[in-house]
Amino acid sequence: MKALLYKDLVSGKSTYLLALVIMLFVAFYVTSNGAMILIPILFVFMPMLLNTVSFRNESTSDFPKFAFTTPITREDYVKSKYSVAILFGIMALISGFILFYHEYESLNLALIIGAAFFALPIIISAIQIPFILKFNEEKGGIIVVATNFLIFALAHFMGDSLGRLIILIQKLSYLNVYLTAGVIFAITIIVFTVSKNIGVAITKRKEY
Amino acid sequence: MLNNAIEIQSLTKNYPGFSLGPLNFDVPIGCMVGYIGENGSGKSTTLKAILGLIHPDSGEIKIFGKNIKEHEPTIMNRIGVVFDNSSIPDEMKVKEVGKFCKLTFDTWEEVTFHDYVTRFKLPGERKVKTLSRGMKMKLSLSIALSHQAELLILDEATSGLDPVVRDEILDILLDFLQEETHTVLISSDILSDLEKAADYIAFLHNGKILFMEEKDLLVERYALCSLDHETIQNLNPDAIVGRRKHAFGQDLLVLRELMPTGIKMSKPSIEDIMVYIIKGEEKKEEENESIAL
Repeated sequence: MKALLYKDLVSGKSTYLLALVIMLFVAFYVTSNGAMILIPILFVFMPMLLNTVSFRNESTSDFPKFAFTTPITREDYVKSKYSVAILFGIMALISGFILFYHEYESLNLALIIGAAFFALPIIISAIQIPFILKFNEEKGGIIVVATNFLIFALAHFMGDSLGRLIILIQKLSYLNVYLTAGVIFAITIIVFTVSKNIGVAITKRKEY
Repeated sequence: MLNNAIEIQSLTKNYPGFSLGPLNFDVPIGCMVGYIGENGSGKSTTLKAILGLIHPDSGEIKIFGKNIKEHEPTIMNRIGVVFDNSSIPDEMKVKEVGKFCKLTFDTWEEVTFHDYVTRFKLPGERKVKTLSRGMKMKLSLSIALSHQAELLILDEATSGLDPVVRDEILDILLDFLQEETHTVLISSDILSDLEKAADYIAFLHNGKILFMEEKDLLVERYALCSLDHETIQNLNPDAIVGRRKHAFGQDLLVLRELMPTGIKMSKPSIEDIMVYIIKGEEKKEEENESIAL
């Protein structure tokens, strides 16, 4: 697993650098324009980009054929694909929590929003990764494009209905904040586990 | 005591328009087995099946007496693999490949890798994508030889390389075989390479093993001769394995033991044996088809 993360890091150096520049640019833009909501949304969006780059690099060199003639397991290979989503999920959680706590001074609201921001990149990656594993980066890219549209639509919807959404979440948070956040985390873990198992099954069945 | 590094029993794999097997053969420990056959005969498919990269339709493959499916991936520490295309991530630098392998193999020897990289003059700061085909092969071989592998599997590793590099690689393989527990299974189209180094030759044709024999015995068993049509009429037909017609008669690959004395014969190369046998097989197939029609 460590080897795969190292491989992704060094072989995608330029992409990660570009991603950092984009994030710094967006951070500068949102702080000067007061559109702070874009920060956690950016963290939701980034894993899709980085995963696509990782799969593309692997497909160019036919990396799995090399990896599976070493002690790397199919399980570790699939798990490594979710690590970026989990990392950015944590960053989205922290930024979403701080942002909404600062904005609305409600710990309950911030916790639920944070949980939702944590869940999003993981669930989106959990949808995309098995498709890419099954159909390769090129054909699986269709599902990546589809989820990208979904994200844009969601961002647009949130932009239009942010007020209503916050009222809805606030209502939820009055019910039982820990239960609600717990349900979000539980759904995320279930989706992640199912997706990972499907990914492992696909990888084991696939021929290289 | 374990005698075979690889044991293959009744291995089959079917694709539309091509069937491999059933294959039965063993790769003895301490030997180099040259796996030969024309393009599309199923050499790479066999090697991929051995490595677990494809799933056979039936049959069993054992490496060091263990079922590959059950003991993957730990058994991979004992196997060094070199493919015709290296499949090492293009964007990695040579020195980063070393670090990656250190994190991957339990038995990684950093010093050995460094020694090979130095010996092959591979620049540590160069990205894999900028290396020539020969350099990529050398990098793959450096990896395969730096984790205490006991079995090397090479698929067309020497094709497309210049004779000097091929010779260098063969020398390294022969060095590797100095350890009596070390084994090499190598597929190659360049049969002169195998002629120099292999102990056994396994010959695959249309997905079937036609023979697997000790190379020296193989060269002893067959012979080449050039005869006129009249002399050929008097030969035992079973003695003729393959033939090439020309204006003055025919060049024949024959079984030496079935030939009468007094006929001048020469030693064939592995390439001669392969070419004549394939032509002979094709002729038999054509004859069978015409009889069926």
